[in-house]
Amino acid sequence: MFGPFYESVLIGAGINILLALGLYFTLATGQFSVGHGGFMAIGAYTASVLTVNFGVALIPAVLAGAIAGFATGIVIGLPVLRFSHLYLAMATLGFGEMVRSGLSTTDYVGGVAGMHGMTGTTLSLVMSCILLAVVFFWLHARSRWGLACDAVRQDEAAAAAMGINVRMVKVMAFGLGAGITGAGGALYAHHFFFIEPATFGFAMSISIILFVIFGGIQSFWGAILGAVVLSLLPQLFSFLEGWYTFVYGLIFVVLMIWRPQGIIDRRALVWLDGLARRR
Amino acid sequence: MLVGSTYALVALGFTLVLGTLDLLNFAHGETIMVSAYAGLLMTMIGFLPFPAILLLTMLVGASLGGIVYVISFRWVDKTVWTAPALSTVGVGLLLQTAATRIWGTDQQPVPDPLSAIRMQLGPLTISASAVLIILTTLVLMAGLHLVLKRTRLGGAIRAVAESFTTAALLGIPVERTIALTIVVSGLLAGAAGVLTSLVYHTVTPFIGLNLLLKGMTGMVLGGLGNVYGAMIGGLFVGILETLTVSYGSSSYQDIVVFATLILVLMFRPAGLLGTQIRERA
Repeated sequence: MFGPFYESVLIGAGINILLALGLYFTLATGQFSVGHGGFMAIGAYTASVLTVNFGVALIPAVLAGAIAGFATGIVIGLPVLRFSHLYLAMATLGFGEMVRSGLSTTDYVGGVAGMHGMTGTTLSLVMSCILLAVVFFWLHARSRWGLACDAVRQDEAAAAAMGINVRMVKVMAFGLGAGITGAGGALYAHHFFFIEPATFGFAMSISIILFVIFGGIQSFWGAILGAVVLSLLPQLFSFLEGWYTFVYGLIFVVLMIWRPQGIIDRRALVWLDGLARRR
Repeated sequence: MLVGSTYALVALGFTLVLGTLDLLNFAHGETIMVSAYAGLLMTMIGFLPFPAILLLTMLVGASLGGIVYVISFRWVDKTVWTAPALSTVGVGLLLQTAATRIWGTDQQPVPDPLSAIRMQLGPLTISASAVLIILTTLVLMAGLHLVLKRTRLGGAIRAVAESFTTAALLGIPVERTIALTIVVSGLLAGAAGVLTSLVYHTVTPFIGLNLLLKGMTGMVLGGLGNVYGAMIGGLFVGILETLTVSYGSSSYQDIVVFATLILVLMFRPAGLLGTQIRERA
């Protein structure tokens, strides 16, 4: 349907969408993570070990990556989510770096040199994962559970007073978000054929944050838009070469001054909705 | 000890901003990195004596701190709690990319200004620069202590840390105090930059994040927002790291440090000295 180059670009963008949606789920309950690169690494390495060393097919391996991400998310989330934002940011940052340096010293997965030999991510597989995630988010936003997440984000004390199990909602959202990110990581590994611990460090975590923040944290469409725009930008601005991260930094700075809630906020959604209905 | 004293300086600057403003300054590590390069440049030029280099570099750090204040705090909507922190991430990226483009990604060797002098202290041979590093750290810590406890600015910083509103009602110029806090933190970052480059004998554009994480761990160990805790915590992290290297393997040093960070956060979030800062509503 597309040439191999565009297909590759689209797959990359699709994977970024999954990563962004994973973080969005965590943000949707008002929590924050500076360590999503770590969950991505866990998904990527789990799936790669399964396909390369055990000959498992890709789809169950991606699923396993997602489950590994989910499990780690729950284990990390249970103790860490009690904290206030500052502690949470630092704990997740520490977690991400610990995963990175832990993988660097594990010879079974190649240490610093990384792993290779993964292959097989196709556009249709990535798109079906995104479709699944979007359907899930769409249903979630309309369910009692989605309302509970909203309530927790707006005011934890009030949510608890309404009988919502705040801790449960937060940990589940953190875990599921980590699971989605893990699936994204698994697909990432099998798209780029090669992974190394350094890929999943702080830089990865903040680019996932940038996807979500750029698009807007008030709706999952924002996360999708942010991931798409920011994955396609490097293709347009390839002439920037090494200055690309400079532009990234600039986007962060300007965005925080001009529109800290992101490009798509609630008002933009209402406006878009009205536009669609008028037709 | 050497590594520890630089970590203590990093943790100090970081905790000063965090304790006063509830702001995680992710640009702090890059400020240190740029200061280290600035110090290196001045050393290369040659004729400047070490104290002058140290002072000038501290000024570089302070002006970077001022820039961080304007970009990430003054201009940013403080009601969205993530906004200033994310903005400092952006500033950090800007500084790091600029450094990579200007100085390249290679390690730059840092000459030791006092390499000829060595001292005999019982069974130990200590290089003069090691003594210099520890002395500078101690002087800066004492200086910060005096500023915080004895000057009007120190009083204002402590008042603003307690509550923006109360401080404002007492007639303290809150915005100016905030700006000065970040600048003082930049001064410390500048000093940390020079000292780090002396400890490791090299500089790369990528030292910022590692230093930031170590400093953060030191700060958490000592108790968030507690200046004295940060000093002790930083030293502790340095010692822990050195012990891991000597009794285990150097590749495990990072894991041990970050595991400590997470364990402390889990089991004793107030840190070893036990003051907990409240979330500001």
